[in-house]
Amino acid sequence: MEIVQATGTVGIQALMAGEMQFSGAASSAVPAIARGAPLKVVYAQSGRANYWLVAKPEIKSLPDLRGKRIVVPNLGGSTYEHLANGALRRAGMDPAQDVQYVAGGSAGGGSSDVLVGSLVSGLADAMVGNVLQRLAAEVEPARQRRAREREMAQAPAAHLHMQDPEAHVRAVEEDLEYYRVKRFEPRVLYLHRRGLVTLYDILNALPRVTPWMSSAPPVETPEGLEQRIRALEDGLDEYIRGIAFTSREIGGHTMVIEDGRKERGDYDEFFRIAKKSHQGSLAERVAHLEADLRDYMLLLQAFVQALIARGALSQEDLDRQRAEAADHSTWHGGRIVARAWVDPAFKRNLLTRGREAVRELDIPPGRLGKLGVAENTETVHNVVVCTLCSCYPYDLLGDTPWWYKHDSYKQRIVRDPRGALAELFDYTVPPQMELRVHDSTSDVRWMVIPRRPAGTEGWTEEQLARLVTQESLIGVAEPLPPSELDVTPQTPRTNV
Amino acid sequence: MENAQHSLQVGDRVQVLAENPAGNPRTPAYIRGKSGVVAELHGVIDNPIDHRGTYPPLCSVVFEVRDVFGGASADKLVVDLHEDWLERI
Repeated sequence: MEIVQATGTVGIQALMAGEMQFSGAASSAVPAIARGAPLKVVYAQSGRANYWLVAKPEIKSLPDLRGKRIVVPNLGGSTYEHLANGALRRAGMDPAQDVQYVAGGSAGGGSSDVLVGSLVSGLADAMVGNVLQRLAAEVEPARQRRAREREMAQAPAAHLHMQDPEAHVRAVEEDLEYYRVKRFEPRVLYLHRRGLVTLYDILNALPRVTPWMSSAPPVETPEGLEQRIRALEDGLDEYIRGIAFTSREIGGHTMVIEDGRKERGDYDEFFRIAKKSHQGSLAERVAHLEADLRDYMLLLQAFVQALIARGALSQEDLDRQRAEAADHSTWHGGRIVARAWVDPAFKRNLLTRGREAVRELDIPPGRLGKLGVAENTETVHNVVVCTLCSCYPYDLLGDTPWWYKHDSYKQRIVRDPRGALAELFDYTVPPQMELRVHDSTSDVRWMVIPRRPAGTEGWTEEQLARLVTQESLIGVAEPLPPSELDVTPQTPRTNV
Repeated sequence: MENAQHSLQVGDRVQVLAENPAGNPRTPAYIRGKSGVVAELHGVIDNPIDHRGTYPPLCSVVFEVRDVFGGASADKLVVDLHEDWLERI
């Protein structure tokens, strides 16, 4: 007797071709037999199920799968698909009509993480997998969450550990004063002068406001201090977002305050705006900042409530903007790209000064090294990767997609960029176009400005921003085609 | 202003050192010993969130994929490398 090593499908093909007489891969034989192959199962090692249908928690029964996507290793009569079809039919469903199968990659051990990744990331609603894949799917979300929590919590070696708390505090001091002096207070004065809100409106709104408090416990250890600094940074981001909510058109006044240019106070002492600076130990500076932020938030919130009371802003407007801001990842990137598409001066500023430029859009600029901006043109297409870990301007554009952290992406995109884009993302770069892969190996975090889709002339920045996907910010796809959005051309507005 | 911190200039042809030190150097193994052209100077970057202190000045260096991995690809790799890893050739 001769024993030959082969995968299940190859073994079955060899059986049918008469090159072999016996295969141990009964599971691969099942779909073949179902299609009429003259094979017979003579021995099954396991009396229990080897394959599992794993679904998102909200899917409780097979009929819940109607209209959903099931990920299988490959399409077209694989064991995985065959078994799922059987189960669906037994539940009175028609697999061809009721569900959609998506291919997750070739079968075998290597595909586990692609199947699981599809399910965890929401690309699919259910997956068919063997027992190992099922286990991976069950533990993966919890594992990711634990890893994130561990990373956030402590671990000196962790990427997110605060290496230099003083620099964080300095950054908060600078940003907090910048946004108070240059963004918030000018708005209050602007609307006050025009009679849209009075100081007394703000005073009367105070009782309706809940003061901001640091969410961190008052502990006197280095870790406690670090937590307080993080809470300050979160509070600062909330402050900046809150200011942005008051920047829309109010009472017919569009308040666009340009920050890109130098203001007179920057070079003329007479016009200088006084800014406070804090002194003392790090703990004292943190305490000062907390007190300042509490005051600033109080005034901001009272100002917003006063605008609502005066009918200049509505709570629904505010809620909608807050929901958009919560999904800051791609939306921020989209707004940055859209502004760069319509405003050449902003684009120049972005390309040369990086994250400083996004202040103009009331987007918190983030604090993670330098923002590198790679612009796609008619002759050059850019793609971003980090082969060492998964560096990305996540403080500005949000968390990366799961595949960005995946070895198969990192390894393939540098070795064979064009092939990787075609195979992994179904994206073909025209042969005459230069393709550049940026490996974010150090303190520059790269993002891509994709090319503006044709047929979007006259679109507003907000509409344009909706075309920008996370994939297009990394460079593995183009922005959405204009047909994806139902847009009737309008007069362009500058304020998004 | 950033250029003042650099001893290299845009357009310089450079070779990456083929060293293998301990620790967490920000130079990926695949690029060590390869040569490319300096495309952009970033200066010394302050990034207190990721590490204490600062690293030497950082350059974006363009490599040909075919010089690094062989094959016939005309695509380019842009890798951010610190100057202490680069030698002008």
